[in-house]
Amino acid sequence: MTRILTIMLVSLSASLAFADAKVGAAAPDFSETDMNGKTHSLSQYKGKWIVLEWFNKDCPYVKKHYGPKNMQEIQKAYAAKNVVWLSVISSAKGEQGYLEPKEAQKVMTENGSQATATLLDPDGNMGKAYGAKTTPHMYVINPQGQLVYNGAIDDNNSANPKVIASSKNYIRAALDAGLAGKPVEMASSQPYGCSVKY
Amino acid sequence: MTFRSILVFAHLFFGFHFTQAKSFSFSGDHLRGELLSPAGQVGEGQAFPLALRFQMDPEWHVYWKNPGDSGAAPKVFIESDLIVLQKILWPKPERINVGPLTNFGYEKEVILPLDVMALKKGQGSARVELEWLICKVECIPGFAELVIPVTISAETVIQDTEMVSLIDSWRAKTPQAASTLQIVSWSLQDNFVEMKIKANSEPKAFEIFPIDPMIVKNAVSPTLKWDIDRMTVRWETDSNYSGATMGSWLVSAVLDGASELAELAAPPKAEFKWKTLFKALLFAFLGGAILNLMPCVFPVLSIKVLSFSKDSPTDLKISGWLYTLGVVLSFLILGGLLLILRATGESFGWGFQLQNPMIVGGLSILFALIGFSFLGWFEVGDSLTRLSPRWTQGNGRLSALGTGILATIIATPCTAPFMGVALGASLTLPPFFAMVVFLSLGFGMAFPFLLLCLFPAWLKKLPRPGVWMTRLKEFFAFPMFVTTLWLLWVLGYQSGVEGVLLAVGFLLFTGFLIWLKPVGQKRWWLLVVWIFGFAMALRTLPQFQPGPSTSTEKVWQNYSEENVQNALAKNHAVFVDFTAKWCITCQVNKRTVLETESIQALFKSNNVVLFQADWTNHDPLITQALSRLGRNSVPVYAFYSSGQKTPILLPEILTSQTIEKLFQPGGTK
Repeated sequence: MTRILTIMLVSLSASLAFADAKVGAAAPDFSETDMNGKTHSLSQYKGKWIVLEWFNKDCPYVKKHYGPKNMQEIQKAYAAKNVVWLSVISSAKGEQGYLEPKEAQKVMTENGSQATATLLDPDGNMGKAYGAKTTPHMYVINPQGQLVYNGAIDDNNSANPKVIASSKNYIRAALDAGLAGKPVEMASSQPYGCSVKY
Repeated sequence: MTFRSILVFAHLFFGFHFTQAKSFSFSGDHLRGELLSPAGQVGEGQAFPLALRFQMDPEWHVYWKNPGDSGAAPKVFIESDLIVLQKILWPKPERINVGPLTNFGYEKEVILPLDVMALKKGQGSARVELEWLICKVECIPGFAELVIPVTISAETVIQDTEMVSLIDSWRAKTPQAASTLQIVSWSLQDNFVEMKIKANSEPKAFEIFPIDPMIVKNAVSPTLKWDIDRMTVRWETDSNYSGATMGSWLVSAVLDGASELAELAAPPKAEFKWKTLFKALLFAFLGGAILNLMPCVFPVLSIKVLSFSKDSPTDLKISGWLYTLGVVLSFLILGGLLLILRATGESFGWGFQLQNPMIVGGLSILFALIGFSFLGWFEVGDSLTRLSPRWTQGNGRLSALGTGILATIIATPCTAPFMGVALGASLTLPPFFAMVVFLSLGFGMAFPFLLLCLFPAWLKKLPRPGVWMTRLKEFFAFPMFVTTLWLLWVLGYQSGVEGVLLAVGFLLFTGFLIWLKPVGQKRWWLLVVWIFGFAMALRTLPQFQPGPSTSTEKVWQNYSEENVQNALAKNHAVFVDFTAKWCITCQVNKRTVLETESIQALFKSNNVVLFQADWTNHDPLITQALSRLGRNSVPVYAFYSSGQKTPILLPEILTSQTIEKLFQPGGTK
């Protein structure tokens, strides 16, 4: 019996290694400290729409959306509609994009981020639980805690900010549909960008 | 200076027509690029030769059209009214691992030939916009804008034939339109897709890449298995895979005499086929029937058949059905147990009951006792073979059920060579169908016996009972002792000398009890001995602990996934022998093929790193490795040719030729 239990535990821990969050299923739980030392968990935001955005200040694809203020505008627009926006930094210590809390505060102030919080995930736990592959890899979670979107921020994987104007933004589409009580049409897409620096 | 004025300048200065063949270079971080345009002029309606060349710094890479888990493929836009870009041709990429992610891309150098069409006659220029992403771990996008001269006239004039042959050499590395390879079917099982790819001969090397994103997990390598005329590719699906279509795939195969690289589209989803299930059931039934001939099963059953003449026809019918019930139930229980364990931990496989030294020890004693009883050493006659304790004597019904269960337990180790693949496959079926296959297997095994019970008249065709029966019965004792020897040998590897000693000690004690039975008429005396025996058993049984099982021969390293990966990373070829001491096929293969001097020399001369994964004792890591290969029984032989991340699985029954073929010239290197 103990052997079977051990096997179950082993397989459970193996499945924690690198999972892909599945659209339609319960979003993986998390509890991470933000750059101000405050802890945020999935359960505390039950009843609210949540956007998760994987962030790396040095990734050109992140710059593509932060440079022309595209990301900040989306953050702001949906903050007004009570949507919780969590930027997540999963870069391991010593890897590109890793930030100490103080540095993160500075970066996020300078770029004018309108996110609810910036979570620091240097051990990559949260990133691996969600299967976050790229920056920016985006997730949308509904008030019931189910994942409704997993993928890219929009439909153009060019690093050139010029293409943003003509791109279809999947996060806006998912939130607009969700907030209006409609199903999310495009529920998953291939995330693009730099690899997350686990 | 404007572009036009440069052209005018060139025209005046060099004094020839300005449609000069050229390479137009550009550069970016860690990258030097060229747009290759070898033609001076191109005929209207013909292909305009053009290609994009990237040269990267060491360790930096650009991406294939499906970049994998991150990254982005290079982009090319051509703005011109004279020519139009039809498509980019993509040479075969490499798998590039970045942490837990896997990308598909190119390192060092790549040339992407461009299919460009000359639209109409005229002279002018084309603006070529390029965007690429180059990554090591960090990523840097690059942009370039080039203006190239274009002259479209009556016919094509190549000015730089060397450049043309360079482009052509890379064009040859891109997928060919005509291919003998074909994806014939695919199916989904749990979180895996299994694709059957037909080929004319067994590929010596085989690689496959998903062209469409979000179908399979890029970071997981697929497992490959060749059967007769097709390669089965088993790959874990992406969590957000919708299950509707299977997209298309880049397949590279080294076949007899020729290499093929092709883009293959998967056919529409295959419907569940009753024919397939029917075939599986038929084979399971036949396989089950064959099990009756196994050396460990046959004597037990034949003795039983010979004893039939004593019973009345009605009793026989009931016994027959009860025996069938016993066999089928045991198969269902074993199968169900396996399915449940698979659902929880995927950590058990067929024959797992023999991984428990207590069961192996118990069976070795049981077989010895059956042998003793065949020799007529004690009176219980065949009641022991019916697993019938004394207090149920005269009640043959329970014993028929017991015989069925016993027959199944001892038959399972013999099933591996015949049924291993089928059982492995049936376990990947939806549970219900898997159980139906188990049911059919059990029914097949019970069928010959049942037939004899239902039609006892057929028994009359058997020779009349006589002294020969006793002789035959005595003779059958010896296969039983051979089985005991084999089980003790297995036990030796599982629990060491102490384990064997313990088992033989138990046998001694049981023998003493049997001797005591007619001697000790007083029941309390018997009771004391029994209690003593049970106390001893309870005290010593926990000592049947599996000892560390190590591969005995030094040429074989102990298997671990890391060791295999390390060897592969060093570009060694790798051979993994998944084996168990209780697996007879494994031993035969080892003695007749793997351990022979010629094969060992062959392995050595080809720098093959040999790993042995010993499954004699329960080992979840090995079970998981087997499951990744789509198997759950041994033997399994996995061969990774050097530089390949995906193994080729060899047949269960090995021949020297099979191994030699792996190293034939033009093969897997």
